[in-house]
Amino acid sequence: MASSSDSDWERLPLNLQESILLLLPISTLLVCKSLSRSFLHTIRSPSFLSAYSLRRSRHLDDLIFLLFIDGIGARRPSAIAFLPIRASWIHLPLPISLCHIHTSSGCLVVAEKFEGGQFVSDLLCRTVTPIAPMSFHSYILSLVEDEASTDFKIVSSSKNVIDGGILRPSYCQVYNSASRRWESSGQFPHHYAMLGNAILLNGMLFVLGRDPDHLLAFDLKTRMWSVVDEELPLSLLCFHLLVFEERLFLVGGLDGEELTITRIEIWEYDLVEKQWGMFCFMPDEIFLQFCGNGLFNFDTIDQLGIVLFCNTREFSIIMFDMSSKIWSRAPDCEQPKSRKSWIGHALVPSVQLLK
Amino acid sequence: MIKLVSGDGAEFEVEEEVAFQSKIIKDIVADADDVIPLPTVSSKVLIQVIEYCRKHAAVNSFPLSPSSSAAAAASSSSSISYSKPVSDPALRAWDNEFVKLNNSSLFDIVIAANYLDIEELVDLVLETVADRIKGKQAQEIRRQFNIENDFTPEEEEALRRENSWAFQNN
Repeated sequence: MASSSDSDWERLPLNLQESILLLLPISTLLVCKSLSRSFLHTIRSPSFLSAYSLRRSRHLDDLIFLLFIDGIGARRPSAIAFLPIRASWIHLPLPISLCHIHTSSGCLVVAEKFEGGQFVSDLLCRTVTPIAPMSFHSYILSLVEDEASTDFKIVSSSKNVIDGGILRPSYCQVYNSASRRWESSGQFPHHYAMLGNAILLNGMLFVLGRDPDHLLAFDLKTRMWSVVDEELPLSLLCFHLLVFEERLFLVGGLDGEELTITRIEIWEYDLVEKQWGMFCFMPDEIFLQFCGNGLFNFDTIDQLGIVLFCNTREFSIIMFDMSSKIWSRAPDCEQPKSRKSWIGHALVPSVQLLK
Repeated sequence: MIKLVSGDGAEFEVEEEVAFQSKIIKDIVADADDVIPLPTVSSKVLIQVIEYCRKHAAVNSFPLSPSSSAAAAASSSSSISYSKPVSDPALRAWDNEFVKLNNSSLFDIVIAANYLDIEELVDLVLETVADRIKGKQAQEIRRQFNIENDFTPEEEEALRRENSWAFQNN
């Protein structure tokens, strides 16, 4: 069929072929597996997989933002996902009928089954592991993967505790995948009206508490909560913490009149100087496209320095690249609005997918 | 000066620092003579490899080029810090021009650079080839690199179905 030519892949020595494949993102390697038997054999080989696991860098090409569920409650639901590097939308078949994603880390999500019950899943490898039920009136804050094994921990917080007519600080529980049990782990330093998303930085879990506004940290080793900072830069709505290049950032909407958001800003928290500094804000022309007829609420998802701002009422999506500071608008998703329900989490495929 | 002899008998005289971009040549010269036969490398490819080595040798021997002087000044004065060539923006731009070649020329160069152990040139070409594969669909990669599809249609379909999301282009 194919005649021999100077551009033959086969001309390259095996070590060079493998070195090229090691430079590719997982999404491209999945395509490469279907090129020929020899590609499939190389990519699946234990030596290639272990060499690939040793690379520390993750490719932006592999980043998948799960934005909506198409057909919630259906037997075979799929996620409507956005690939930021290709600026394209794809359908991702889901292994289980889920209705909500609590939190995610790398390739794993902690999600809620449509018929009730929580599970941990690698949605791409299609593994589903049920987790023991949490104590009543709790909600999940974060999933923390163990770097050296496949173990993980899930951190949860109890909802408001009223004791003798007085609001008490919530307490925290940690689920250990190895023991399959929830363990009581420390109380919050104050009572907070609500908690924001939790993010991991240097072994600490950072969370924003509101009313009072505190930046909180949970030490995963000692399992103690502490208040890192008692002042937020401004009164921000729809806040979201994120980590980029081991730096801590806060995204939020500036509170205008009648609860409309007038600007979206990103602040950086200097952990040494213990102070907030403005990083950047969404340019006016982009903001106008984003908010449509008044903005009251928006969601933020981020991973690997790519931040997505989603106006779930207008279904408009703005993308921001933290390293180049470039803002852009995502192409519209063709799916009709009525069929979409928001899930909003990022996934980065694992090497397991190449097996 | 060192004399390099290509597979087709052409002779090239190059300065030591140019030839020493190749670790193999450096080792050979240390314990033998200065005429080095390279039977597997054609003169066409050797010219390109020498061009690359000449450029990189020149940049490496003048670490205080305007673009890297700030970095050098910032580092401790007691140690001479040679800026890693690829971090020099001017050299990186030159490298980007250098690899604007078809796949078969790139393969010739990387095979020669691998044989001569010129690590930076090998890395440069491998990254270029990887960039030409990244994000492409199967048919396009097979066409570019003349890869024969030896799967049955059923096997191929099964592999595509396993991770159908990676095969959706839009």
